[in-house]
Amino acid sequence: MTVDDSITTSDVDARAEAGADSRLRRGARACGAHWRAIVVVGLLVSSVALVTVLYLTQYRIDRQTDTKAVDEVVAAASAGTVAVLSYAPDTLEADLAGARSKMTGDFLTYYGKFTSDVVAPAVQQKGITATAQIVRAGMMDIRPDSAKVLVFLNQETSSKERPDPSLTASSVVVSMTKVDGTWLISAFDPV
Amino acid sequence: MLSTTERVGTDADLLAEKAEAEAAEAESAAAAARERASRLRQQAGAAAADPAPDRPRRFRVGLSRPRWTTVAAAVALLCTAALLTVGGYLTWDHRKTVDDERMRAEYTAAARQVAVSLMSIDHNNADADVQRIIDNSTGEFRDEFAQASEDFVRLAKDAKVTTEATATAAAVESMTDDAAVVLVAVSSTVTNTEGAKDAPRNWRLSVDLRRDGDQIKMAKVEFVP
Repeated sequence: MTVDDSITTSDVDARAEAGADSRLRRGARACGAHWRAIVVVGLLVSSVALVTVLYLTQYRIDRQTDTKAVDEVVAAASAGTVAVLSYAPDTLEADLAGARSKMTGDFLTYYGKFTSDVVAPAVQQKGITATAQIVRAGMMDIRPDSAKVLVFLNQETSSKERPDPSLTASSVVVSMTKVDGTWLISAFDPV
Repeated sequence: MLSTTERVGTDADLLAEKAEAEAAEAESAAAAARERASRLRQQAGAAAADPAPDRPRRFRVGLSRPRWTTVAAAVALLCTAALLTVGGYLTWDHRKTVDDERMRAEYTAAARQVAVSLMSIDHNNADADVQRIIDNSTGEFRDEFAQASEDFVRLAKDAKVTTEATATAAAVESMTDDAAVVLVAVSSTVTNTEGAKDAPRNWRLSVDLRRDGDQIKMAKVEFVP
């Protein structure tokens, strides 16, 4: 009975040992496989992180100052300048409202006051018609939310007193600010 | 000697017999133990949700797992390669944006400088002023200016005027890596020999720039009407 017992135990032990050994080998093999998996997943995760960081911190911001954005700002500044400097007595209200819609900030406040106090009465009384034309325009500096555009423009003005149009050539630094995705004039400085 | 050997032999025989008997006994015990063990296993198997079918299942998983992981690893590595390509593109794109910004500043500064040097002539120093313009020019413009430089110097000396120019604003109209068109607003004041100054005049210049070695030079200048 004792012999029987001891043999049974050692037999079971041996089988258990063999089982543990193969399980260990299987574990080691699984661990090796896991190491490869860890490296592969690690590479994938870090490349996802890299692309995400590059996209968020660089690419998305760069798009706001790229060639397309530059063209957009220059076009907005040109159109805004034409709107600010073109008016006629018959269409004055609409002209001024159109110009105001292309402005923002202090310049909008100033322009509103200046046009209602000075420009509007003069235009109505003297029958002044002004037409601005952009000759050339270039980008001075651009940031995601602000830009400066140099505009070379010619303004043709005529009045009841002087019906022959006179041409004025001028250069203006137009400061632009992006408000809700739209570029608006925030300062207008003749140079 | 012999008897001793015989006795030893007899002793050995006896020992062998005894060992055989013991072996037989052990064999029967082993058989009983094996039977018992298998009985115990059956019991254990019945108790612990039958591990026997588990074994072949694990074996099957072990066979199909490498194929699954290989596919997953290949997909993951392809994704990683694609992402790294995208990352490379994003880095290149960002560098291009930074370069463009630097280039815009560079062209603007160069255009300001050449416009000012072109429009600032001191009659006392006309030769050097003109030489500086030639040094800052390239291509046809340089050739034409060099040809007309003598007349230019004589004119400046005869008129006895000094022109002082400042660039009030400059902006890039278009640019590539090695050429640009820059608009420059210039204000110039003319002083005659008596020291009387004219009111400053404003000019609008369009300057074509081109890279010449490590320097940016003007290739064409025109007044914008």
